[in-house]
Amino acid sequence: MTPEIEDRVRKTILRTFNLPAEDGMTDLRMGGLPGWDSLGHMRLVVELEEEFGVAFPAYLLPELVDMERIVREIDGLQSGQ
Amino acid sequence: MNHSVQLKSAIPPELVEEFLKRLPYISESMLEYDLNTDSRDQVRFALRTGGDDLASIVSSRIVETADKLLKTRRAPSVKVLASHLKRNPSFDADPHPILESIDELHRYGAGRYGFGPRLVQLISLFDREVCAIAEKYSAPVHQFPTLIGADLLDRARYLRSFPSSLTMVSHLREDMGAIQDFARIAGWDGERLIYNPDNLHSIQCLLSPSVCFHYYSWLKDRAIDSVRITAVGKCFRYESRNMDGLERLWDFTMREIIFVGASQFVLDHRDRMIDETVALLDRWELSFEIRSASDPFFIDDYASMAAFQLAFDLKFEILAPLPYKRKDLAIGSFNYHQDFFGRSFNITGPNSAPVHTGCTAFGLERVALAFLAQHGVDSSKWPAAIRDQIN
Repeated sequence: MTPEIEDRVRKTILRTFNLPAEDGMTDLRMGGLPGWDSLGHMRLVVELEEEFGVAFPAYLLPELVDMERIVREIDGLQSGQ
Repeated sequence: MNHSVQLKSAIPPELVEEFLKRLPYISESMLEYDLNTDSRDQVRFALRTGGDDLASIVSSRIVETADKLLKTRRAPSVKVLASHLKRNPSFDADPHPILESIDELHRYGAGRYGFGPRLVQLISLFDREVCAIAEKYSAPVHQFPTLIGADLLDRARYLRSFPSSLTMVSHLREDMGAIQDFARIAGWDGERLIYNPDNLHSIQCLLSPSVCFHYYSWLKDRAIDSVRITAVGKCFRYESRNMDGLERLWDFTMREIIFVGASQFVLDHRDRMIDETVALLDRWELSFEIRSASDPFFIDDYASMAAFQLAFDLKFEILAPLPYKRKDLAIGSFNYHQDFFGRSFNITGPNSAPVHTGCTAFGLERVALAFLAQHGVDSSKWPAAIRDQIN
């Protein structure tokens, strides 16, 4: 994982769901955090798009369900893959 | 007086119908409305006499409705699971007036219809054939009330997601004075029931908008492995001026096959139901497609919820062309709710995690309308698979 992207993704997740910083050490994934349900997921997608200046294509939305995959997809979009 | 409002951006073609369906709820004072079909960024509307003071409020609500629909919208990625469309339909008349002329259909009011013996026979036949699929998958028959508790709909987040379609139920307060007062003034004034709202009890129940909610509540606080059932029920969704013949009823009948269990169990069953349905509709010689879809959430985050449903393949609809209207009608759907109802009703699986749920649903009156719109009302011209079972 890219440490800089990982850190920004973690902060974006915590900000989106109004979680304290200590929650950033836990397993950050959909269904595992209060608020990260269907509506929360789309709020997070919008926040991530603003944070990183990317636009996730619709087919990627179901993939963005945990830290590792979010970081991987952002990395891929930013490097034009 | 006529008014016009400019939207911030054009409504995309695929959202025009959804946008127009929301306009009847803007204001009771709005008599007519239409979207400029070329630019799709301007709405003209007329208000009731004396209601012109509301023009600016109505205008801002129309703009707000468009904004919410477009907020966080993504380019649609519609998936087509099956396309069995037939060209050159042999029948293209509107079956409604024909059915009314032969006393098979009777309109009581907007969204409320009665059916004659042939239509009842046809609807029952469709239901039996769907039931045969349920039986094949060992899904026992259940029955649920038409009334549904407000507590249950609140748990299912339905009250907040689809407020405009709710049908509340009330009764008089257990108070002799209130009952006598109601009996004294109650009557029909030509447009509405005259009564004093103070005599009504607070609302505990609504008319059920769906069948499967009752079953999730039935399983509340239980640990289960996997289960499948079927049930048919009357469902109620108020749709204002959008109610139109058998296409969009306020009071309709829905047959559901419901699956509860692990994610893979539910998804496997949904896939099997899609295959079974394709075979069934082919036997009925219907023209149809099965495509990904989203629910008409009436919330600020409509676009987000719709995008989520589409992206996660949560809903597929059976769309049958209505030749007389040159448009498609959704006659059924295949739904996957993930663990939403498992969480909402605390239903857990063997690993203590919330169960996943899914359902296959058929709007039986709509199935009948699609069949009659495509094959006509003359039973001698119906496909043998149906004709042979109708007396």
